[in-house]
Amino acid sequence: MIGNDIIDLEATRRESNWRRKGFLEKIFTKEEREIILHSSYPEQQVWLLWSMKEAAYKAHQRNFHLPRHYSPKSYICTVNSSEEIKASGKVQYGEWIYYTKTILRPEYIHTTASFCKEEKIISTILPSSEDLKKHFISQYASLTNSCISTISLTKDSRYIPKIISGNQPVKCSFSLSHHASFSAYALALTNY
Amino acid sequence: MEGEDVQFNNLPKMNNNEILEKLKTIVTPYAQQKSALSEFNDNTDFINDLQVNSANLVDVVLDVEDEFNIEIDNESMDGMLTAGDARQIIQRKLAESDRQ
Repeated sequence: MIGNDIIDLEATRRESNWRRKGFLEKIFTKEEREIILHSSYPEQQVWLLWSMKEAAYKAHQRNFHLPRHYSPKSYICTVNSSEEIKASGKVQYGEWIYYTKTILRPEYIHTTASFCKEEKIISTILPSSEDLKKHFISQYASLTNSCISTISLTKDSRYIPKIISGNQPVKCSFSLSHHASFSAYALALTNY
Repeated sequence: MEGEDVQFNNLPKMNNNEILEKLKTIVTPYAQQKSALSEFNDNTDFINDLQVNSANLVDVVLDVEDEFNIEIDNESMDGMLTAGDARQIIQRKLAESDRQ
């Protein structure tokens, strides 16, 4: 199962003040805070690590059909490699490890997380003016040679999106994310 | 001390509605779905009803700590997804600080 998280960086500046007293302590471990505060671009580190936690949380919740919970500090991030526009790493939650890949752009950060280290994932980032679900359904239909009109999205009791194909629920590893001006989907190619 | 109502945290005792009212004031700036504020009650879900983004949930927790002069540990924060959850946690923390 996979998770993804898109972050609109300009929106974070309007919505959050990560320098607020107590903010970093609620979300990040001591080691993570050191990485942030010693970085030459701390703002990017904050949202990189945050998006890793979010993506891993979504992957974990889908993997185990869990109810929602909110404990960002329990998701422990390690960044293995970081170039200018991408980073990869892992997030540990209890005994579970999720592998993450991140795209770093001036306008957004997008992370995908997977239980499987070598999972092949396609992801697309769209302006929020576009219909994310429509694009996703179109992509899914194309991959499965299905007719678009037979495919729809619904949400289960845990608010997790699910695909319905021809009135039947389908097992598919995917994740959707929205934030302000951007939205994104990620789809695991495992079965196709 | 029997018969005395000692308030160590200097706040008057609050009932459910008073706490909910204060909570509503706290979450309002972070709620992207303002229309859901009109029916603010125990069942109001911060993320799904009010569309508070998950980073701002930390701000809600910090604001609650400031407003009620309590500390919300991570385990409590984990269970704070609805207004009712928050209200119960606040009441529990207020009672704990009263006993100190």
